[in-house]
This record gives sequence, C-alpha cells and structure tokens, in this order.
Amino acid sequence: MRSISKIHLLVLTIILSAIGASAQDARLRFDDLAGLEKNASEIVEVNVDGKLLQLAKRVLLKVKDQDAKKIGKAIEGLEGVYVRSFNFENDNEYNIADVDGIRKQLSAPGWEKLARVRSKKDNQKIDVYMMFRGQDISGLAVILSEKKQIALINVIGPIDIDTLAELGGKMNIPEISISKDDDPDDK
Amino acid sequence: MKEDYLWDKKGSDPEIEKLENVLRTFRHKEQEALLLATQTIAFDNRSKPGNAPRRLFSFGFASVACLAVAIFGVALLQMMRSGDSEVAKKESVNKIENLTTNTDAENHATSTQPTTTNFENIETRVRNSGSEHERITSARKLINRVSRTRKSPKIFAKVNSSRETEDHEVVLTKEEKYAYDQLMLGLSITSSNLKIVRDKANGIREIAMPKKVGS
Repeated sequence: MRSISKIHLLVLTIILSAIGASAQDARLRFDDLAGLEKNASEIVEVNVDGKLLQLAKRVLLKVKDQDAKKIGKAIEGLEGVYVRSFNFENDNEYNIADVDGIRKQLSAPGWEKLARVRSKKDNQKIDVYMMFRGQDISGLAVILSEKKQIALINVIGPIDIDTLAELGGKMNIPEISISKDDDPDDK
Repeated sequence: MKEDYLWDKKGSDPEIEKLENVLRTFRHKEQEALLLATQTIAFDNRSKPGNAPRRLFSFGFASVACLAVAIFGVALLQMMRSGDSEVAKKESVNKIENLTTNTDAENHATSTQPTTTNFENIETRVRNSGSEHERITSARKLINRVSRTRKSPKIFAKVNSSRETEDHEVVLTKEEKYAYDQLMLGLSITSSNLKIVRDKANGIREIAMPKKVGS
C-alpha cells in the first residue's frame, strides 16, 4: 500500500514538473544584458506575472470601459509579460551581439518566427516569434532594434495579438513611438 | 370526697387516691419534659448557630436587590425614552428647518432626486398650511411618514455617490495601481511593436510569413 502511494506520488511529481517545464518553455531569460545596460541612457524593465498580473487583471475587471473589456478579454489567459527596453543617446551605441543570447534562446524548438521586418531607412529590425500549444499561442517574443533603441518583449500565455495591436493608444495603453524618426503611419 | 385533698393534697381521700393510683402511668413527669425540651433547643443552637438570622438577612438582601434592580431598570427605560424623544425632536426640528430654509441645496442634489422630490412636496404642503404651529405639526407628520417609507436623503446620497464612483472612478490600492501600470506599460510596448509589424505587413514590405500561417 505504501509502495503504491509512493509510485503515485512520483508519477504526480513527474507530471507536475513536466507541466511546469512546458509552461516555462516560452519564458526567455533576460540575464545577460549587461552590455546594453551599460551604454543605455534609459532603461525600461517590466516584469508582470503571478500575483501582480492577477491584480492588474482585477483592475481591468473593475474598470467599466469597452476598451478595458477588450484588453481584459485579449489577455484573459496571459501568464506573464516581460519587457526590456534600452534607449541610447547616440546612433548605434550598442553592440547587436548583446542580443545574440536572446536570439539563441529563440532558436530552440517550439519557437517559430512569425514576422521579420527590415527597414533600411531607420535601420529598423523587428523579429516576432511565437510558440504554439496546439492551436493556441503559448508565447510571444519580439526583438526590436533601431538606431537608438533596443526592445525585448516576452509574453507568456495565449493572447489576442490583433486586439492588442488595435488597442495601442487607447485606454491607458499609450501608443509609444518606437522610432522617433519613423513615418507617421508607423506610429 | 374531700375537697382539700383535691386542691392542695392535704389530708387523705381514699377514693381519689385510688383513682390516682389507677391513672399513675399517665402522671405528668415535669423533670423529663424539661430535659427533653432543653436538649432539643440545645441541639439546634449548637449545630446551626445564627442560622435563622442569616436566612432572614439573605431574604432581605435579595428583596432589596430585586427592588433596586427594578427601580434602576425603570429609571433607565424612562431615560432612554426621554433621550429618544429628545433626538427625535431635534431631528424633526432640523428637518423642518432644512425644509423651510435650505431647500435649494436639496434641489441641486441630483443624486438624491427621489427623496428630494418627496421633501419638496412636503415643503409645498407645509407652506400651504395655516399657522406656524400647524405647519410644524403637519411637517412632522409628513416627515415621519416619509422617513418611515424611505431612507434618509443623506444615506441615499451616500449610496448614490458610491454608485457614481463605481461607474466613473475606480478606487485602486497602491499595489493595484502599480500592477495595472506595469501591465499597461508592458502591453503598450508590445502592442506598439505589433502594430508596426502589422502596418508594415499591410504595406507589403519586407515580411517573412511564418511557416504555420503561410502553409
């Protein structure tokens, strides 16, 4: 009887750890970014997950606004948002190799490149990666580099990216201009 | 029969003596009776000394205590009644004063519309009535009737104002605000990037469609 319960416990532990591991698959490690931090004039760091995310979702439920409802629905299954944004005083003040560690993580199985944007005008490069769990998105990663900015985004959990893209500039989601030299259409 | 013998046992009377001898067993024994009585009394006194006075004392104490409690209760009830009536008087006087002097504030309070309307009706009815005494009496009656059926305007206003706050403003704790701001900042950067990509894709510029979507 005792051995059976031990086996059950072992199986349960393996299953739980497997579930945990699969849930953490989409999480990128923003550990080795010291090179970017050193030269950046402005750093934005966002880590929203766990209880903080629950609190934020609760606020979205409280706000009786159509846009808030849309956002709430779009991020219903969201598990975490992690952002690192580095702004620099001068053009190309960073070493693009500093992002290689992140790109390496995104070359792991499970990640698929959804979009690749290259603009010679402002040296803009955007790569969008996604991880799927069945038909649902389980993770999103964006690497943006411009003359004076590098942004790394990691979203975990299923989200409605179309709705999120639509809602830029509405609610308290300010429509942040990624590139100051960009076309007005891009803003 | 010699009467002297009967009175003080002087001389002798064989007839009576014979009778005495017959009834000798029933003769009164004074010493035994006294001893018994003494013993009984002595026993009671020794075993429970002061018992009777204590009983009397506790009974008296209980009676006095009951009486005191009863008096205190009645007095308290009386005081409460008088207090209530004082408060009621003050309230009604305040209400009347508010009705007759400060109705403008109530008219402007949109959130208290239902109750305000009732009080406006009261005001007009009070004003239409005759002398001051009549006005006060009728106002009191109407106020009592209204306050029995409706909540007080202050409470109503409070309820309404809290509803309004819920509708228009969301009161957030520090933690909630921080979490919301952080999430919105993260989402804003994400959505801006996604928007750029979408716009570029719509403009048919350098786009590499994902294998899953493209296939």
